[in-house]
Amino acid sequence: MTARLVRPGLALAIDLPAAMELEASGEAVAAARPGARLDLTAAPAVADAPVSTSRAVAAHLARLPAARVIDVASAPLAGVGGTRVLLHHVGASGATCLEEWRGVVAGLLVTLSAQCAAPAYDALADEHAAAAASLRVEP
Amino acid sequence: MSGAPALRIEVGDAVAEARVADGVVVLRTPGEDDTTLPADLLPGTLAELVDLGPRPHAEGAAPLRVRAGDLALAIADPPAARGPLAAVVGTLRTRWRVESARRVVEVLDTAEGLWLLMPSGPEVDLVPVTPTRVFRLLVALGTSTAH
Repeated sequence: MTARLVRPGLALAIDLPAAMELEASGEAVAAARPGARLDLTAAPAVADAPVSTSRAVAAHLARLPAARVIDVASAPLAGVGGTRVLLHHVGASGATCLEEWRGVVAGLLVTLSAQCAAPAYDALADEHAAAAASLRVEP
Repeated sequence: MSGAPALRIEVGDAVAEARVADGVVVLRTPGEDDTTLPADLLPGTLAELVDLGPRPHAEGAAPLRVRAGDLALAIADPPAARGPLAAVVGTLRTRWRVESARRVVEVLDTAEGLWLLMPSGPEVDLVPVTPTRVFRLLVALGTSTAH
């Protein structure tokens, strides 16, 4: 299933994992299945992807004191250079993995967030990465 | 829980054990009281024990195959290491290993990145891997143990 995020001056398309159910599209995209969800957002960029990622990670760690950053890497998103970060944290619903991709496209900070129960991460990581890799700018 | 599936966790010279049963993990570390955790915390707990976190991605580095004895000597005395191993163990932080009845994840954690150790007869393959890849292996190991 392909979902679209449309903002003034930017249209993005993303191929969602087949098992996911679309919850929202338009200014943002949200999709979920039991134990996992994807959220695609775009907001005016005030910094490049690495700086935005550093700020976001700091915010996550402040909000989730027991969170552990597993990985931070450069990763393309929607045809531009971006970042990928993987965190593990324990919340009300148990141990959770949060993986986020960021890139600045047409002046907007585009963020794809994938969350799932930690024990399901290995099984779902490839699907989430494929969704990130499918993100593209539409004419 | 004495008959429950167990994980042996070695980090450098330190050894811990985790037993999984009935949705909980009992973590036993020498000199400390047992810690009981929900089983879904196992991957994160393993990541914490081995201090898994962001490292340079050495994915572009070529895998190495070395004799197990040479690797053991290099880890024991990094300054004395020679050849390609010298570059790997030159920035060694620690060697760690998590073993269940069916799987083993063994890693050299260096300042330049993570290397997965994969025995191959009398030799060992050193494969550069990302922290994400290592975390996935820990999740899979924990999940297979819990089930």
